[in-house]
Amino acid sequence: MSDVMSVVIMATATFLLRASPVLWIRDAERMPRWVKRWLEYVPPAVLAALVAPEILARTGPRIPGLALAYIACLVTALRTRSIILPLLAAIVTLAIAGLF
Amino acid sequence: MCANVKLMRGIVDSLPFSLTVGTLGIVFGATAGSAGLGNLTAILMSFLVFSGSAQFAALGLWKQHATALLLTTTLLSTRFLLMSASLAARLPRIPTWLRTLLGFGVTDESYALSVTRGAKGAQISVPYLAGCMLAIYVPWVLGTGLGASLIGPLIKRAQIHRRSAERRLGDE
Repeated sequence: MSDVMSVVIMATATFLLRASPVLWIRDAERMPRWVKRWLEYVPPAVLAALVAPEILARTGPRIPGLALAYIACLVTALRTRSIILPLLAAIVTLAIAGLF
Repeated sequence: MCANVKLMRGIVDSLPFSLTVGTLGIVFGATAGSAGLGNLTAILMSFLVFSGSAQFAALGLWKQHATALLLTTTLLSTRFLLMSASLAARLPRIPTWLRTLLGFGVTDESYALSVTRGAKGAQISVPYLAGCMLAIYVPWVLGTGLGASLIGPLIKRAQIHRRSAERRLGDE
């Protein structure tokens, strides 16, 4: 099995999963109402599923201050609705917490 | 708003992610060598696969069964199926080539940015989405190239230097 072949296998697998929905569903207007309503719940569900394990698995005694950093990130995000500011708030909080 | 402005807007909004994804790309490129991937293979992978989670998982599985590689990539990419379906429900009517490109470009970051923008269930702006995707894809590939060609070898050289220095100290 050559290296290039392995890359092609990976690329095909991930591409099929990513592209087939947008290629299949060509006319969003003709999509059944219930499917559309169901799909509206996907963003919060997916985003929560991506973030929650990360927070729960890594917050603990090993990296103190990480919980504080997440809180700082969340509060800044809710307040400012920006992307860069919560990131900075989290980094600064983690750096300060690391000093103690 | 015209298409170019929206595209720029997508790029600018994604810049924080460009930074983190670029750094992650450097890490991927730098570690790929020690997992047995050649420089060109690593860059080709970032160019064609474009998935951090699948690619880092592949490093641990390299030179093993292709079935394991296929299974892992598929499992790690299933989340994109849902993301892509929810994007599809909110896309306007666009040609197939554009759909193919947008499908290829679906990532956690570009998805999160484009669906949280605008009202709930509102139509997604295609140029904005394309801008987000570009701002993630380009740093990912460039970072991999930088990591594989420059940072990885530098780390390796430093390690060899340290080892030989330790050996010399041990001889004395």
